[in-house]
Amino acid sequence: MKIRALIADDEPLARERLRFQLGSDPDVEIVGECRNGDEVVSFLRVRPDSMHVDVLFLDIQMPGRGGFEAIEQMRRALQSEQNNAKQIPIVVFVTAHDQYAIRAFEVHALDYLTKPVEPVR
Amino acid sequence: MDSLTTTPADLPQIALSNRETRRSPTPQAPRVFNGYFVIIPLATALALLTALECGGSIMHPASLVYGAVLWGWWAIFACVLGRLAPHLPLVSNLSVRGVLTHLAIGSALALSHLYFLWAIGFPLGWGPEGSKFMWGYLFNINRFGIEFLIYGFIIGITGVLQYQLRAQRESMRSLELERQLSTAHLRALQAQLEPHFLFNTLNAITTLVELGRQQQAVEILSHLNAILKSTLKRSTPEKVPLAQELEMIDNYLAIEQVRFADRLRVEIKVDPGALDGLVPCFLLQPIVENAIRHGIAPSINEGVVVASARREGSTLHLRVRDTGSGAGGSDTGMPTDTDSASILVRPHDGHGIGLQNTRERLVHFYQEDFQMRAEPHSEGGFEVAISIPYEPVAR
Repeated sequence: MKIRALIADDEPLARERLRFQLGSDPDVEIVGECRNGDEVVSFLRVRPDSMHVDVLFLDIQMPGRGGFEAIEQMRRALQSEQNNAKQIPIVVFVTAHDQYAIRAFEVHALDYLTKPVEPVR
Repeated sequence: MDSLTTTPADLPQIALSNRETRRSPTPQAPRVFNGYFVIIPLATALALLTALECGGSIMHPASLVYGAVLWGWWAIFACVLGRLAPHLPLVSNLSVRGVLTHLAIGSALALSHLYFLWAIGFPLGWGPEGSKFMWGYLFNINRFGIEFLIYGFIIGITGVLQYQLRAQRESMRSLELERQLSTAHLRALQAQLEPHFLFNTLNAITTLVELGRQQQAVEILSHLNAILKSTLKRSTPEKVPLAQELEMIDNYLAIEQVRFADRLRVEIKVDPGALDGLVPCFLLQPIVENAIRHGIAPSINEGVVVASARREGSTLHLRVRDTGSGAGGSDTGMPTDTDSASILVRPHDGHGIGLQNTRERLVHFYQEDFQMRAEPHSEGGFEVAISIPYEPVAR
């Protein structure tokens, strides 16, 4: 089974790059791209159960709702829905700055990548 | 040149013996006592010489006292004057009033000195023929003239030292000022080359190369090259023609355009008559950068940065406006301040520091002769408007 990935970054070039890098891995399937935190939240909320997201590549600094805020929002949404079937996907933070690293792992991070992202393992 | 004028307050006001001066443990001691080291040995030598001359032997007590009083008087005066010199106006001031003051003080000092010599002469029995001789010997025009000459001599030397010390302090102060200015200049340069901007640009280039979009990568590299060239040049001119400053902004915006793509739209409206006007180097660039970082980057929707310049008679009006962060929640209800040369600090973001820097530079270049307004625009977003005198490039 392929790993289903969602990319969230406000800069088109950064999205393109991640798409390019992930696309070269036959085990990864990109299910969508978002430009900000709000789009991430709505994407995950409206997805049909079949459209499961395994990994979320999340930029921290995005206009409107940033990476951290998006996760917070997802948590709250899940709590209110009392739906245990739905889960927050594994989150890999992607950022140009390393000052958010500790906070990222406190929140819900599998990994923390600093830009420019080297080819992912 | 060091002088006794730097004596700290805690030292004896008049140090007449070397023993006293050696007690001072302060590190500046050698500096402080230079003046005393000259005055005291000189006065002592003169006193001994005088004693030798009028008594025939320096072992004669009355002659010694006479010499000591004769020269000690002026030594004390020199020490006191030296001590007070930093707080006095220049003693070498040669205005009518200054000269008259010196005449009065000099006469008073000379007469009281002569009187003092005469008064202590009685008990000591100076002079071969008693006090009557002494009176005539002391109070004649020659003695008075010599006294006055010594007074003038001391005043002259003090004046020269005072003048030199002040000149030295003045030059130190102007050096300090110069240093502060170059620091401000350096800060402006550093501010203009934001490290984040550099990293973001390099990231973008990496990505473009990776994606095989060489043409675009080359374009960005050439823009970055132009920016680095003017930033890192050792001798940056203080002012550049507006055209050159706008070229710099063009380079900068071309790079940002790649990053933000459809989200950033830039409009530059320039009155051709304003292009040859001189503006402080890197004046607009940090403002445009601020507009992008705080007005466009946090906005989900498309944002517009409008930079305009026009000339109105002898004034150059520059304006940078952004359409703001869409929702603009943080912009509402903010106080505005439209006074001349005033800065509005946008809360929670970096606008304030950059604008403060800009203002400092404007003050440096134009003193009071400029206007700077930075405030949220009525239609949303933020606007920085600067008016400076129009100075055409010298041809």
